[in-house]
Amino acid sequence: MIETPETVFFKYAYPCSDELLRLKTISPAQKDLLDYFFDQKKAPKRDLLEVCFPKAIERLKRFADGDDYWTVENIRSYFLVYHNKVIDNREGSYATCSRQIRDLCKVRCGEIHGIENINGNIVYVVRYNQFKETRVSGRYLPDAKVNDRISVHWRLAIEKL
Amino acid sequence: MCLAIPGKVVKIDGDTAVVDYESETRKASVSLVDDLKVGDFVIVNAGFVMDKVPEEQALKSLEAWKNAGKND
Repeated sequence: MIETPETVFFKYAYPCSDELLRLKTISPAQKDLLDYFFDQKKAPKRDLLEVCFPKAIERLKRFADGDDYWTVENIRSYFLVYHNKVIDNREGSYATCSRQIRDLCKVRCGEIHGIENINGNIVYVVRYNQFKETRVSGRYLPDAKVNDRISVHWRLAIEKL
Repeated sequence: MCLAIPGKVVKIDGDTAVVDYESETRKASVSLVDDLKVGDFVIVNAGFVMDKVPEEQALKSLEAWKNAGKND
């Protein structure tokens, strides 16, 4: 996938689309479109992303502070830095969700220390710091290797860093 | 945008759990969590069971979602 602002935004935001559908924030037709683009390893156009992920877009704009918010650098920095601060500050819907959910929502960076194949599912054993290790899915990033540093959102490996 | 409604595991078949959400059931891989049992409440996202949720917390969340729906 060629890296564009849309592809970077989509790979971080897409894992939330299941939940947005359950919450009826997006329609089944919109979810089908998002799934289609994800399966095709392509990103939807900005207008669809803006409609499906309005809260993330709103925060992305705020993070850009008046500059162009649709840049690769702004989007990656938003997800790797600002996104977790939004959660820690308990903004919007994060005010009422449990700590467990807030932890899952955070984007974390860690190093792969092991790779397992569980019934065809690639699972990375990721160490976030000296003490914390967790298993994350390699479904969206199947070609990572031991010692690779990756970002993780919702226990899903998102990209190599 | 990430909130997550808990569901209840009603069946486990190999790597796959069937999770009940009252209005629907969904299948999800259990490859990321250990010691999952029928009756456990879980968070599912992107086709994976992400974590178990203590029953008391899950019931509280479900109640909150039901009340939110009544206010729509």
